[in-house]
Amino acid sequence: MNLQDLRKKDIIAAKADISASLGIDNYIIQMVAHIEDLDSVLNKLVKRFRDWYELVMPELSRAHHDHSEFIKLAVDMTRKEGSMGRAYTHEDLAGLEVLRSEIAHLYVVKDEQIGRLEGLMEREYPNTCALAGGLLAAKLIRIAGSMKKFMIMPASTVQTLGAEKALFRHLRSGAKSPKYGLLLAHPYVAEGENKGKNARSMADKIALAAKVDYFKGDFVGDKLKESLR
Amino acid sequence: MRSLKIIGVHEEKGRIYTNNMIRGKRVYDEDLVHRGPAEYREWNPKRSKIGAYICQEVNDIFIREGSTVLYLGVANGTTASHLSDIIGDEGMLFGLDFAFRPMIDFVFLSEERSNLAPIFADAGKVEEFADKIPKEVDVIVQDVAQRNQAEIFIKNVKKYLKSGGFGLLSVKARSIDIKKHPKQVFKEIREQIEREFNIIDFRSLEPFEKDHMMIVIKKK
Repeated sequence: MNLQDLRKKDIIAAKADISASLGIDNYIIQMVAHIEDLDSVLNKLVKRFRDWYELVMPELSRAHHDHSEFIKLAVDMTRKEGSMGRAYTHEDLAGLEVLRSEIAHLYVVKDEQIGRLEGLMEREYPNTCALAGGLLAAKLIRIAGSMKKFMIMPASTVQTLGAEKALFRHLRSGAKSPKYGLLLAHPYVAEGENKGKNARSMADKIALAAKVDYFKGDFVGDKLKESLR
Repeated sequence: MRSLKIIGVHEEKGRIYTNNMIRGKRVYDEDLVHRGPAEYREWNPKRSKIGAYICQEVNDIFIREGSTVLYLGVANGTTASHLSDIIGDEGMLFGLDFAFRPMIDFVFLSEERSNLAPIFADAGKVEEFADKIPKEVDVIVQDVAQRNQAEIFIKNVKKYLKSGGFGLLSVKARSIDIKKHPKQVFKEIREQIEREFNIIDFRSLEPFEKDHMMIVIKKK
C-alpha cells in the first residue's frame, strides 16, 4: 500500500478508535472538574461580594463565615443603626444585588450538578459510593484516570491519592509519608480519633469496593461499610 | 536567516525555524516570520525535545526530506509539525499516542498536513499497530513518559526500523525512577540500550528540559 493510502486509512481508524475508547469515566471526570471549577469561581465571586457588601453592612458579613449562608442573608441591604456601613440608595444597590442573586443561583446549580454526578456514580459504581460517597469516589477516579486504573491500585495508593506532592517528596528525600490525601474529605477520616489509621482502613475497603464495582459484582457496600465501625 | 547543517532547519539570532509547509497557518502559538518569499515557523525548544536537542549544537537529527518517521508519543503534534515541515510532501510521519485528548488534536493536524498519519495505540504493544505503518521506517523518534520507555524503544527499533536507520530516544529520568538520582537512571538506560544497538550520540537537554537526555542510535 502506498503511504498516502495508508495515511487515509489511519485517519479513519484513529477516529473510530478514539470514539470507541470513550466511556462513562471520561464523562464523570469532566463533571468532577466542572464542580471544582464552580467551587473556585464561587469563591472568587463571594470574595468580591463580601468586599463590596461591607460598604453596606460589614457586621453581617463578619458574623457569617459560611459563604452560602451569608449570601442568602445578604439579600437584606438596608443599613442598620450603629453600623459602620453607609446607607446607599436602592437604585445604587442594584449592581450589588445582581451579583448576589447570580451567586445564589450558582450555589443552586452546584448542588444540582453534584446531585446529577452522585446519581450517575450510584448507578455505575454503587459499592464505591456506599463507602466514599459519590463525589469523593468520582474525585478519586479522576486522579486515577479511569475506574479501571483506580481498581488496579493497591489500598496503600488509594490512601494517599490527592497527596502526590507529599508522597513524592517522601520518596525523594525521605520526608514523612503522607497519611491521607483526598480521603480526608470523608467524615470517617476527618472526624476520626486517629485519622491516619482510619484513612488506612477506609482505603482498604474502598479498594475492595472498586474491584467489585469494576467486575459488576453483587452489592456488598453495606457490609464493607459495617466493617469500618 | 541562515540554514543549519541540520537539513531543513534554519537559525536567526539564536532561534530556530522550519519552513512552513502550510502558509499562514500556525500549529501552536509559535511565531511566523517572513524572509523574502519564504515563511518560517519558530521552533520552541522548551516545548519540543527534538528542538531542545538541536539547540545543543548538534550536526544532524537524521531526518531528511522524504523520510518515513515513526513517532512514538506524538502527543498533540507540536514537534511532529516541525518534522512534517522538514520531511515535505514525499515524506510521511506516523504519530502514535495512547491519550485521547492530544490525539484528537493530532487527528485534526493530520487532516491538514498530508504527511502526517495518526495512530491511537499503545507504543509498547508493537503488534497492534503493525497494519497501520509500513514494514520499515527510516527513523524512529520516541518521547513517552513511561517507566519502561527503554524497553518500548528497543522493541520498536527491532521490529520497525530499517537496517542503517536511526533512532532518537528522549529519556525522562523522573518517569523511570523517582527514587534514583537522574545520573544513575541515565547510566542504566544507556547500558540497556548499548547492549542492543550502537549509540552514536548521548546528551543532556538542559537547560530546556530538566533531567532529560537524548540518545541517538544507528541500527546495524
